[in-house]
Amino acid sequence: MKIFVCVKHVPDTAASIKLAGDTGFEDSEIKFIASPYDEYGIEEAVSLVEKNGGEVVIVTVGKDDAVSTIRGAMAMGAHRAILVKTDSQFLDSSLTAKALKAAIEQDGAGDIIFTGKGSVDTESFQTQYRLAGLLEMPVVNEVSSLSLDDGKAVVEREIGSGEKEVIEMTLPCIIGADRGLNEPRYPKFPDIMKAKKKEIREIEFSSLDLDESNAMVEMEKLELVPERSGAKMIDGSVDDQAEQLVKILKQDEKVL
Amino acid sequence: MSNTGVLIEIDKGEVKDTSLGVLTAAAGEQIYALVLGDDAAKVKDKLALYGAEHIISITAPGDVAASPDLQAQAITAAIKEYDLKAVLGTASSTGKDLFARIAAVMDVSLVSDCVEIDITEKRAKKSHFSGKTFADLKINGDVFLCTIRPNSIEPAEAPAAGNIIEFKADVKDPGFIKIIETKKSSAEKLDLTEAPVIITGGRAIKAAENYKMLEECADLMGAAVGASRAAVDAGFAPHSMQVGQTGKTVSPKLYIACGVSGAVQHFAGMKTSKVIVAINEDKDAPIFGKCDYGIIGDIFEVVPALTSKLKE
Amino acid sequence: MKTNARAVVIGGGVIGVSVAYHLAKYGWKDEVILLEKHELTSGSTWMSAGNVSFFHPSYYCTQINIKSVEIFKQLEAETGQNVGWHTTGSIRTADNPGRMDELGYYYSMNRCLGMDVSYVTPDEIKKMHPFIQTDGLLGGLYWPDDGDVDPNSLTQAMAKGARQHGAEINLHTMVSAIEQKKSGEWLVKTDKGDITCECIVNAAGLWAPEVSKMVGIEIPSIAITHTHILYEKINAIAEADTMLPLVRDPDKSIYLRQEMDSLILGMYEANGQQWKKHGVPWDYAQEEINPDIDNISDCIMNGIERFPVLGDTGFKHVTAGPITYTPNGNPLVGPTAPLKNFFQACGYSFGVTQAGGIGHYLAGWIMNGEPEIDLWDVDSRRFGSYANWAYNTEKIADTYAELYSAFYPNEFRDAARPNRTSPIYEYQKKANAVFGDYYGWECPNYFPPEGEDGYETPSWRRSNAFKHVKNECKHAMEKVGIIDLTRFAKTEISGEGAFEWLNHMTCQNVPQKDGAIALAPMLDHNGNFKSDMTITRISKDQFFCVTASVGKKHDQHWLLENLPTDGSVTMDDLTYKMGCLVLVGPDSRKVLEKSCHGDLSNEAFKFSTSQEIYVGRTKCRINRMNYVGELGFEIFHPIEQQVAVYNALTDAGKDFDIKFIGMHAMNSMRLEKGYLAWKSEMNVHHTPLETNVAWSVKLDKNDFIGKEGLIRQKEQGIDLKLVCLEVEANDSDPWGYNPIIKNGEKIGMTSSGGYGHRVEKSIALGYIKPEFSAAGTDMDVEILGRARKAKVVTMPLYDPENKKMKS
Repeated sequence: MKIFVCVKHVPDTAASIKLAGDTGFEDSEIKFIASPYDEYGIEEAVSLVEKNGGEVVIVTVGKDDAVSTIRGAMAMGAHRAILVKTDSQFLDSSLTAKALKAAIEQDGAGDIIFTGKGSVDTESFQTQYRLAGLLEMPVVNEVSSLSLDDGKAVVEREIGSGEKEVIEMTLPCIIGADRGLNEPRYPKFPDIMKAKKKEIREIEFSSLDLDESNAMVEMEKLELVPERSGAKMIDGSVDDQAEQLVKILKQDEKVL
Repeated sequence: MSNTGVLIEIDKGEVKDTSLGVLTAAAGEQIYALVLGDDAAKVKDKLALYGAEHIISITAPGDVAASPDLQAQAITAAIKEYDLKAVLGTASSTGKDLFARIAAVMDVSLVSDCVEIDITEKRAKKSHFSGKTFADLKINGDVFLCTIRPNSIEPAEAPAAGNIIEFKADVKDPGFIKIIETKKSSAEKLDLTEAPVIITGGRAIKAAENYKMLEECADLMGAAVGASRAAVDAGFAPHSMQVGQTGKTVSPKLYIACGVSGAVQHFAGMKTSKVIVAINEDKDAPIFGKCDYGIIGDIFEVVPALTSKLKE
Repeated sequence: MKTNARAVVIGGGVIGVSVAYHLAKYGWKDEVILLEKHELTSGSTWMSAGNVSFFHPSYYCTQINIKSVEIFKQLEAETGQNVGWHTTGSIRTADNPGRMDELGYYYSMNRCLGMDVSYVTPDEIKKMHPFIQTDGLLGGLYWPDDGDVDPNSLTQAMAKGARQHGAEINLHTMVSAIEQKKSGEWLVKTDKGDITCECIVNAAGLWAPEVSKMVGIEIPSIAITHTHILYEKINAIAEADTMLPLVRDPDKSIYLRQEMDSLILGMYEANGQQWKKHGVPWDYAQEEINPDIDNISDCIMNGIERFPVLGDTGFKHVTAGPITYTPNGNPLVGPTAPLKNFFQACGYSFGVTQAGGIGHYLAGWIMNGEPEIDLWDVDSRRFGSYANWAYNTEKIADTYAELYSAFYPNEFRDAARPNRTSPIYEYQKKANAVFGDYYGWECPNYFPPEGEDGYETPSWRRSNAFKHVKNECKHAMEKVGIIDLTRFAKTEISGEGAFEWLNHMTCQNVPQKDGAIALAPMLDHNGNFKSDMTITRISKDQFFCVTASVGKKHDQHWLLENLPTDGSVTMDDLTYKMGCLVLVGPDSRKVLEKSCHGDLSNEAFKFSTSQEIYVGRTKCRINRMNYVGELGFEIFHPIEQQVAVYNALTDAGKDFDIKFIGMHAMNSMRLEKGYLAWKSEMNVHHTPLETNVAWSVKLDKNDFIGKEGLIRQKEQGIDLKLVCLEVEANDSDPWGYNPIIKNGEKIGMTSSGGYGHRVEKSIALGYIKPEFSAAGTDMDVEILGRARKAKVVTMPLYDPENKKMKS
C-alpha cells in the first residue's frame, strides 16, 4: 500500500500566541508540533503499512521549519516526505488543497490519504474535502474507527451526542482522523535518529503555478481573545449562594 | 440585499434552536431557508417567524439520507438555481461536514465556525489557535459559505413570508460513500456542541455515578453535561463528554464548571462561552481568575442546592 | 492590595513563595506581600523535574537540602495540600577513580552532618535499579531518604500556607519600578498600585536581573534551556509496586528518575543553549521551548547505554524550558551590596530542591539579621563586579556543561579567564605560573620550573603540584620569596569618628599609636566571625584596613551598613588603587634594605608595625607582618607603580635567589602557623573565643558588635575548640568538612587542611569538643571515606615562638 498523510506544522496547543503585525504571530520562539489529529492519521498509516507492506509518505505544506514536524512523523515510522515550501503563515484551505494535490500527483497515486479531522491552528475543517474534490475521491472526516476489506473502507464517525455513523467508502479515499482511531505511538530515540536520514523532497510553492493572491479567504486581522479578568465571587451560605446564582443567571445575565 | 441561503437542521420534526440563530445572523438579507427532505411544511411557521422569506424544500432522487455527497450535490443545485450569494449553516458535526462538501463541489469560499458574519461586507470573525485568538477574515468570490458557531448568535424573531418552494434537484450520487448504519448512543443526550447551557464535572466529581447529580441539575436548565479531561482520564466519563483541547469545543450561553481547576487546555474548549460560572472548593483554583462568577464550595453541597433552587 | 508591608517578595516561583511562606509563618504574618506578574510557577518552576535530594557539593547547601525535605514532608499536614512527595532514595554513580574520590568527599562530608549515606557496589545498584546496565561502574553512593515532589503542588501548598499565616499573594501584578525613600523604606510600584515596605526579596527568577536593575544592581544570572524527557509507559515499571531510586550518573551527565509508570531522563549537555541572555521578555510565561534533540543526542545515547530500556521506549514528552544559571551554578541569596534591606533569592538552578531550606534560612536571616547557618556559598556578594553579564555568559557555558563534572578542590577551570590581573601578571606568566582565579583575580598557585607542565591535575589526592609547592615553601623558609597579594580588599576608614566607630566594629582594641597594626576581627551580633580584618593606624583619624580578597563585597557591605550617617566617618575603597607584594623569608630584610630608602633594623621597624617607605622611587606603605610565619613585609603601593616596585625588589633580590611563591605554598605555610582563614575557620558558627585568636577579644572595652554574645559564651563555656591535628595521611590530605571521630563518636569537623611542607606533616585545623583538645589526644580524621589516625598538636606547629617573624 502507498499511504499519504497530510501533516500540518502548528503551534503547540499550550503555546501562548503573541501577535506580530496585523495578521501574523511570533513563530520563532514558540514550540511547534504536528497538529494533534494528524498524529492519529500517521499512526493509522504506519500500522497499516506495518501489516500490509508498502510505504507512508508525509505531505506538508508549510514554512521551512516544518521539517521538525516532518522528522517527528518519520520517527513514528513514515518513510519519506514531501514539503511544499511557502513563506506564508496562513495559506487558505483552497490553496493548501491545491498544493497537496500537486505534491501527491507528482509523487504518484496512493491508496489512502489521511489527514487530521482539522488543524488546531486555523480550525477551518475543509482542506481534506477540497483535496477530495480535486482528486475526485471519497472523503469522510472525524473518523474514529477504520477497517479495510476488499478494496473498501468501513469507517465510523461520531456525529454528536455520542451517535455514530458507519460509512462504507471505496478506495482510494481520504480519511480525516479523529481521537479514538488509535493511540499514536511515541517516537523512540533510535527511530528519531533514523528519521534524520530519511528523504524529504522539497517543492517550492511558487513552482506550482498557484497564485497566492487567488486566496478565497484572506486574513485581515488577528487579535487576542481578551481574558476574563477574574470572577465576581458569590458569598454566603450554600443556600444563599445557590439563590443568588440563579437570580443572577435569570435576571442579570438572562441565560436561563 | 442579496439572496442568502440558510441550511436548516431539523431534529425530530423541530427546527434546531441553533438554526434559528443562523437565520438571525442572515437578518436583513433575502433569506432562503434550505430544508433537505420532506419536513418543510412542518417547520414553515417557525422559519417564517425567524425571517425566512422563502423556504426551499429540496429533494433529490436516490437515498439522500445515506449519502452526504448526494446531499451536497442537491444543495449545490439549489444554490445555483436560486442564485444564492451566501449560504449559512450551523457549525455542528453534520453542518461542518456538509458545508465542506458543498465548498469542494462548488469550489467557493467557506469559513467554518464563525462567531460573527457580515454578509454584505463579506467579512467573518472566527477563532484561531483554540480560542486564543480571533481572526477577521475577508471572503473573496461571488458566492460564499459560512458555518456559525452554535449559540454565538441569539435567535430573534423577524416575521417574513415563508413561502415554500419545492425544488427537485437533478443530481446524481457519485457513489463514493454510503452511510450503512447509524449507531444511537445509549442515552438520549443533548449534543454538547449545540447545547445552550453546559454543566461540566471535573476531577472533583470523584466517581462516574456522581454525574447523575449534574444531570439532574442539567435537566432543569435544558443543559448538556460535560466533563474535563482529568475526569475523562480518571475514567469517570466517556471521551464524548470531554470539553477542551482534545475534546469538544463548545460555546454555550452559560457554562457551569463544577470542580474543574481550569487548565489552559480546558479553556481552549469553552472560553467563548457567554457566561462562565465556576464552583470549586479550592479558592486558589486558576479557574476563578478566568470566569465570570465564582462560588467557593464543595460541589456536592452547592450543586444540589442549585438544583433545588431551580426547581422552585 | 495592601499599600504597606514589612516585606515584599517579588516572584511567585517556588523560591519566592517559600520565602513568603516562611516570613509569614515565623511572625511577619500579614505584613508579607508576594507579587507575581503572571501565575505562580510560570517562570522556571513549572518545568522542574521535581528531584529533591540531599546531595550538594557544599556542606552548607547540603543542610539547605536537608531542611527542604523536612519542610516538604510536613507541608501537607500543615496546609492540607498534597505536594506529591515520594521517598525513592537516590544513587550517584562513579565510573572512574577520581569520581570515586569525589564521592568519598561527599560521603565524609555528609557524615559530618549525621546523614544516612552509604557506599554501594555495582551489584547493589543493579539490585535497587534493575534497569541499569552497570558495565564500567566502580560503585556509587546511596541516600535512602531522597525523593521527588510535584513542583506545582509544592508551590501551591506553600502559597496556601503563606496565606494561612496571613501573607497576601497578588497574581497578575507587575512591578514596574522600585525606589528608596528618604526614610530608607522601599517603594515598590506596580500596575495595581504602590507598596511601601521595609525590605524587598528579589525572587524573580528569570527576571531577577531586570528587577535588580531597578535598584541599579547588575547580577550574574542567565537562563539556559534545560531539557528532560518523559518516556512512555514501561510495563515492567507499571507492574512493579516499588519506587525506583533516582540515579545520577555524573560521568554520563544524566539523571534518571521514575515518574508514575515510566521514567524521566534529564541531562546537562555539552553545549547548553543560553536563552534570552540579554534579558527575558516580561511577557514570557510557562512556555515550552522547542527542544533541540540534536544538541542533546549524546546525552540521550549516554542514557540508553546506562539504561538500555530507554532505547526501546518512546518519548512521551520532551520538556525544554529556561532555568537560571550563575557563574558557579549556585544561587544568589541574601543581602545585596551596597543596599540596605534588599535581599536576593534568585539564580536558582535547583530551585525546587533548595526552596524549602532557603525559604527557612533566608526568612531567619531577614528577620534576625544573621543567618542560622553560614550561607556564604550562596551569598550574592561572593561575586565581585568582575562577575558581570558578559563574564557570566562566557562562564556558564562551561558551568552548565561541567555541572556533573567531578568536583576537585584544586581545580580552576579556564572559562572566562583571565579577568583581573596584577600589573606584574606578565612577569608571573614568564616565571611559568600556574594560575588560579580568586574573586576574579588571576593569582599564581605555584610556579613549576620551566619546561614542566603548566597545568595542575585536578585531584583529591596530592597532585603534580606537590613537589613544586614543597620547593616554594622551603625557599621561603631558607631564602626569600615574593608573594603577590594585590587582590587583598583594602579600605581606608577616616574621619573624626573613625577611631571610636572602628572600636565598635571589632572586638579588638583599635591601635592607639600611629603605625601600629592590630589583628581585628569583626563579629556579628552573636559574637561569631563576620570578617577577618587587619587595622593599621596611619594617624589618629586615618586607618588602613585589610580584609580577605574574596570577602571584599561582603565586608565592605557590613562596614557600609554600620557606617554612621552623620558624616563623621568616611570609607574609601582602595582595593583597585593599591597593589600588595609580600616579601617573605630570612633574606627579605636584606632585599628590602637594598631596594629602599630607610632603616629596616629590628629596632627601627618592629614586628607588627607599619611605615611609609620609598621602595625605589615609589612611596609604599609597608606592614611588617605576613601570613606565612617568616620574617616578612607586606608592601602596599600605588597600583600603577607595581612593576617599578617589583623591579626594584627583584633587582635587589638577584643576589639572594629571590623567587615567586604561590597561593598553594602560602596556604600550606599558614596551616603550619595555625593562621585562620576566612570562611574556613572564621565563619558564622564560631567565635574568636573558640580559637587561637581569643587574645584579640577585649571584653573590657566599650560596647562592640558581638560583645554580648561573647560574654554569654564566656559564661557558658565553649562547645567547640579549634585545634591543629597532625594526620597520618600519605596521599590525600584533609581539606575541610572531614569528620573527626573518637571512639566511634563524631567529636568535630575539620575546617581546613593540607600538607605542611616545612614541618613535613599532613595537617588539619578543626573544631572539636573541648574535652578532647589537649595536645597528644588521639583521634581519627575521615578522609575520602577512610579513617586516618590523627593527634592534637600544639599550635602552631611551625616556629611556635614566632622567632622567625620577629627576627
